[in-house]
Amino acid sequence: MKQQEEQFTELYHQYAAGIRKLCLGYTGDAMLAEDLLQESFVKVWKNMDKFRGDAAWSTWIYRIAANTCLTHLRKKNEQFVDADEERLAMIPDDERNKEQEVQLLYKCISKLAETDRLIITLVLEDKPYEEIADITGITENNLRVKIHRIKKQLSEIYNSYERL
Amino acid sequence: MKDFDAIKDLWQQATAAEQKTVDLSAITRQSKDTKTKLFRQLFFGGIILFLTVVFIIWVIYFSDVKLSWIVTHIAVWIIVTTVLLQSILTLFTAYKISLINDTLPPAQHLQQWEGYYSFRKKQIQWNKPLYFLFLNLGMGLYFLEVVYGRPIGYIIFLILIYAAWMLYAYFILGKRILEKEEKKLKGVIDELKQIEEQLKAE
Repeated sequence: MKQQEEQFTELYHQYAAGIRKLCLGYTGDAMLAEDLLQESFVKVWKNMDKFRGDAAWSTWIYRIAANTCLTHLRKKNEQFVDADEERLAMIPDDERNKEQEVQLLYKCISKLAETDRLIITLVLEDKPYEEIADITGITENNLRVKIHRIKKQLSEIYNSYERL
Repeated sequence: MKDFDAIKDLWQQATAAEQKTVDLSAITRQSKDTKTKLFRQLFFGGIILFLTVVFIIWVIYFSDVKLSWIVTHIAVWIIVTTVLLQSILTLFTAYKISLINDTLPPAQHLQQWEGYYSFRKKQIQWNKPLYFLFLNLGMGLYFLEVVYGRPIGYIIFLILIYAAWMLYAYFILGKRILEKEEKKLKGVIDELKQIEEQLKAE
């Protein structure tokens, strides 16, 4: 048990930041992302004995987080996106610092379809395509097509907001 | 005008929110795990129903309460059987939740949830009306002995109240609750299907 706790703590320190960004990209909301991060690691803790080493820890943990995000209720998400859009639109261009640009990026990602959000967040995190395919269960060929489309879509959304 | 590489740079420059220390006790309390919450709700619901069965049997056969009519015994056994079956069904539903594997690839994981919600949708269509009917049938028969010997006006008044409640609960309240639950489950199933669709080849 002690060993498992130590291993869990190590995994948390290693992957929590990345998973938090994944959840943030998915929801566009820091509070909700924190909830999803916690829920993901609850599942990691509960399923640790099932880990057989067929995939890397990273793939396994990211898959749990992806499942957690995808099965999360969407209604809450849509509500705050609308509220934040209004808030962001009111900020003048010159006041938008780096952090606001990042916040805007999170909002733009959250405008994509659910699975697209996860895929593009993993791409932005520089995960190899092979690992993204393992996490999402999508074939590499299909994934390449999807990524090409999502990149274009995200750039368009981001630029359209930046012009506001 | 930013291209994707500029967006990627922006993402990678972004500092992830502060790294909090691991609160293992908070995590093991599983407060935010939806699956666990659903499982606990169903599991404890099933256990409470089972304890209700034990309590009814104790009251009828091991306490000072004595039933003389056969009809009343039949009524008690209708109630006991109905609640016991409901308890088994609730525990079975909890078991179905526990089978959902969080570590599967998303498409399979979503299918498992969809399977669970479809099962729930079918279940509430037949289970709730049947549970309500048999429980009230048992209760109705049970009260025959309780009200026996009372003034006829009192009995008629009780029957009218009971029948009115039954009709209201079944045809108005029950129907409304059922429709609401069906709509909610359908919404969840549709949403899961929609996400599953996104995972398919382009």
